[in-house]
Amino acid sequence: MVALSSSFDELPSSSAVSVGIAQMVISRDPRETLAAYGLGSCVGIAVYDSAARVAGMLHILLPESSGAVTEANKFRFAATGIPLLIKEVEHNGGMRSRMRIVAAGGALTLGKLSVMGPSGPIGKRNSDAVTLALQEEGLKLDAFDFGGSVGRTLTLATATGKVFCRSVGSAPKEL
Amino acid sequence: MALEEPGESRFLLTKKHARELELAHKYISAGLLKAGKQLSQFVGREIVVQAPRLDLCPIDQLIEVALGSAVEDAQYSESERIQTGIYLGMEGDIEGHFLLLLDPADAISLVEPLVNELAVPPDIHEDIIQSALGELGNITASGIFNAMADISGLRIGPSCPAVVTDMAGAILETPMLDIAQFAEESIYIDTRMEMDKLAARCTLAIIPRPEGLQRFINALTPRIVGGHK
Repeated sequence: MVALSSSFDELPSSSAVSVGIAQMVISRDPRETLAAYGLGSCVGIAVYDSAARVAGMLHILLPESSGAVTEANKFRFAATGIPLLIKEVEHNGGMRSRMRIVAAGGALTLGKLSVMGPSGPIGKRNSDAVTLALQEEGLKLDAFDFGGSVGRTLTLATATGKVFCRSVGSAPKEL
Repeated sequence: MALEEPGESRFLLTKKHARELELAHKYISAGLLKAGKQLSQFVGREIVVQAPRLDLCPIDQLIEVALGSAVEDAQYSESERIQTGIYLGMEGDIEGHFLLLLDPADAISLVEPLVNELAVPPDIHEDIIQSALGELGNITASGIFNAMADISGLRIGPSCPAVVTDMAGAILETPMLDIAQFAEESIYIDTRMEMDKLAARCTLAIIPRPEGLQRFINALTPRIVGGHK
């Protein structure tokens, strides 16, 4: 069995803060590493401002809502979650011009069975929606790891801004 | 986009359907027991499948709940645990998803004796293991779907199986986000599988789409009102 290696090796004293599905976390604590675990078709978005040392991470499930957007589900969607992520990083001292933005996920974990419904593979729609939502904010991705058929974990260290993506069967890669 | 209250047009499965869910649990448990007997014949080992719990779960929390990591300060690392997922679509009057997650070593040990008996060439050994796991999922899903069909009178059948080994969260996400397009909550069934007296924890998620779930619940309600609980 292939074991996952840790991407926290460079920060032995850091503690991982889980960013679950439909959650957003902002951190200014240099001891923390934000982590979106087990991303399949979902997408994790990491934002970092190195001058303000502020880190933000969002874990979206869907491109946009087909129904009502509520306080409870606003971070579930790329279309509503990304503007809030950017705004919250700014609120904590970040500036758009200094933001480094990285995203990962949008896989087809179950291969052809991932294509559900008439609107195509949700993983691809998610990654497209992230790119679009950032464009609408006047921003773009600095790095990304989208697609394929494997799950991913995305981590962002608040102290350094280093972003790693790890998958089953491959070494963690810095994005 | 303005924030709104949840729309009334969506079918919301709530605690008020507790009696329907209890009845469904009873039938699904019986279906799993039957499936266990068929699985025992299939793999030539004693297998007992039990479903101690059937419950409602907010869709965003399905992975945490299904993987048993919904605790304070959980690091969500259960999502990253490597699991073998056996997936089948639900087709017919109720559309949705069936997903059985097992430890990869348990999954292989379940079907390897059967595959070894076939004396297959080494180059296709892995393919046959995958195929046998797909059949294992097919038997388990059919047991549950038949039980759901018996109680509701609805037509329910499985699609072809898909077998993947990956991070548990990544596997669970696919059916989950399909449902999240239509619903705020899902039912899930906590399941235990016992092989030759050795307990293997498995996670079984039965996730019907809302319109099919509504048909199913509607079919069950008269049975409760009529005193067939």
